[in-house]
Amino acid sequence: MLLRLLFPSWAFFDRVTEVPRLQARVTAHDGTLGPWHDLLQAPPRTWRSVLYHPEGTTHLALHSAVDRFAMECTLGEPDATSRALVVAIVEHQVRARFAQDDQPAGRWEWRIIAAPAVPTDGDAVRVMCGGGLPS
Amino acid sequence: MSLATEFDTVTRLMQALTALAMIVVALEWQAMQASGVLRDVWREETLRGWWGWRRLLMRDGITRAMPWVQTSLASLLLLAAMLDDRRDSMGAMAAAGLAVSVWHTAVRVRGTMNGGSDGMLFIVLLMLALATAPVSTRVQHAAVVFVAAQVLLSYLRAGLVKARERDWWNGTALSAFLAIPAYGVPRWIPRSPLLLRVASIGVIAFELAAPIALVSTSSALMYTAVAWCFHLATAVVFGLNRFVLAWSAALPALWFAARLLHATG
Repeated sequence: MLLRLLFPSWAFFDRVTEVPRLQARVTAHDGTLGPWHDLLQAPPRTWRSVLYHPEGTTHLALHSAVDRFAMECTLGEPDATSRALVVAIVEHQVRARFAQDDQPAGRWEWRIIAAPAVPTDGDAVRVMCGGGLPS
Repeated sequence: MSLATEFDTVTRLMQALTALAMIVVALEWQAMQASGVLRDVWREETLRGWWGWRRLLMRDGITRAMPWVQTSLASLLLLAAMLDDRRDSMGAMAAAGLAVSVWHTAVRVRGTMNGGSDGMLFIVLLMLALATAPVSTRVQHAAVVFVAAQVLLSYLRAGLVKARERDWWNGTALSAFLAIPAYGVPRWIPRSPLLLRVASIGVIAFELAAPIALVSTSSALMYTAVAWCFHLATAVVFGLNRFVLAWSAALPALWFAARLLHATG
């Protein structure tokens, strides 16, 4: 970590590749499958956000954890800690986003898909990894 | 003005800008803790194994206190930048303490909070600690030059990897980055293909032109002004606020490196 901080890679915005997206859906007790929801959505910004943007910083930190696990899945070496972090992100986001909604009770599933940055009709969704939330 | 006076001015400016950056970092860390996301996502039981021996430093009490520690140290750093008498090592110790706090946050969340900006802040803080510590002038100057080298490298590397991609030259890459939902780019940002192509070429040219900053102190100033506008634009477009703060604190080092280069022939 010390070396990564002292000698960062500095390769910003180099190549457009597929973007990992964290999604979740609920499977109701009667087996009905709900739609997939994107869990990490960029928070709104104001002019203040140019200098102070805690929601944006949190969002980027969450995304980094998802990106890292997605990369590990792509390499075929998913790390248990990375996975646990992603599951915790799913739990946190599901609770925050759907607590007020009239969602049917059931089992939550999550997945990380590889999506093109600019989606077009007919894009195939590639599932990088996924799982269910512990009940 | 003598080199010593100029070095003093540059390090004071860097201290003040770094202190302001760290106050923002502390406020954001505080807000993140208050929102509960740190407790819910980066759980101690999940990360304990990865932390290893560092878990002693990751205790809840230390993490909770971190924004206050950072604010206090940043205030000391700001004070050190303004004090006439610089003989004590208050500034150096404050900068070193803040560097440790940046490392602590990175370990606490098992990565960077805001990409490369965390790395740049860490570098500036560590080198400021060295540049204002009671060590030889050569070491002090080397510390500021190291910051300048990292700034140059950050632009050059980013420029080189973009220049290799055809999609960057025709504007497609920038268009795609603007469309990535994670950045939440505001809708009012214009996206005409011609404009994106011009902007893309401009970004590549700006980044690859970084060595121009070393040609003279005037070119360093001009490059710094353009760089600052670039980071401001990045903050407005992509929401990368900490990059403005971190690079603002680092950019004065470019001027000093150019000055030193000329002083030594």
